Amino acid sequence: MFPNYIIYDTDPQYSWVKYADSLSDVQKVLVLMVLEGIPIILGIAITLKAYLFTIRELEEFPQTLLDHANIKPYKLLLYPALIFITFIPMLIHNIAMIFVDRTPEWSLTIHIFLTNIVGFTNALVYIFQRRLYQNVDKIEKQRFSISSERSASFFEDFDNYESHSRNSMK
Amino acid sequence: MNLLEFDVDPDEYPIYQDILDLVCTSLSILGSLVMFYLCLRLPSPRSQSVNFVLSLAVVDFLYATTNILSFFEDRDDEALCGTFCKVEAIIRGFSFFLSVFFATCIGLTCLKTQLPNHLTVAGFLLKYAYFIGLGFCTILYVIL
Repeated sequence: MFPNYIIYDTDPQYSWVKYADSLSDVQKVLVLMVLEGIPIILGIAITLKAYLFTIRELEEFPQTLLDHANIKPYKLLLYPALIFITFIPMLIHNIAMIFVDRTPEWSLTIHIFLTNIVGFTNALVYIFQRRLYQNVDKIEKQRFSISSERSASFFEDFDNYESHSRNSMK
Repeated sequence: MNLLEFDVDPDEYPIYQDILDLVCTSLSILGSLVMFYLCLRLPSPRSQSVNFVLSLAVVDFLYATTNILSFFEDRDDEALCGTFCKVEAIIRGFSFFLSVFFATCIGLTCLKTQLPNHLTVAGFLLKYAYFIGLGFCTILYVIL
């Protein structure tokens, strides 16, 4: 599809995808969209759709139950927001680089900062979220048979709701 | 030298960007290792979403590693750099794509419990996620 469109630069500082010199600006944008733009936009769209769906489902739970479990559904929007904040500045900067000879230094600085810190931000969002620890807590409680009235009642209600929603879909 | 001064000579500004790059990449390595460790601590069998978080930690670690390797390469050695940089660029491309892909898969697992059957696109994607992700990467960065 793109034979010889992509070359790999020998400069180690920027050893990522480079464009062949023969490409026009439109072709460069096309290559960029295939390699970066479409995956990023699809990723944001799918995660946004999935988490909005989950938020809608969670809102059907009684508010007291959510408060009791300390679940805030709108916190789920952090996940698509993370992909947006991390990768969209990079995409804009890379597109701008095709059309201008020299981009402002601050845009490259933002690009470097947000893109290269992705492992750290992913760790913050995916690990230091209370929900994951709740799952760990649930599994460990089941494993070691430690009774906790508060969590037991929550998960009982949760299981009842889940079986009810599954039955209603059949 | 004022590292936050943007209006500097073009030959000088990569210095503070190198430092920023190094700091961010180090934080990224640290974060992905913590994520990896905490996921491994979970008792087996791990859920599918936890497996995706584990995979995300691995690809983030690979991405950060290829970034930090750039600081230890001899830029004047074109023979070594020609091969090494190409491998590094391919790994970086793979890990970038897979980072977005696994983050999307984690989102899709939320829908999994509500899927009417396993024949949906989302169900198929999650079932064969690793093959699909690696296959796309190979097509994009190696074959093309």
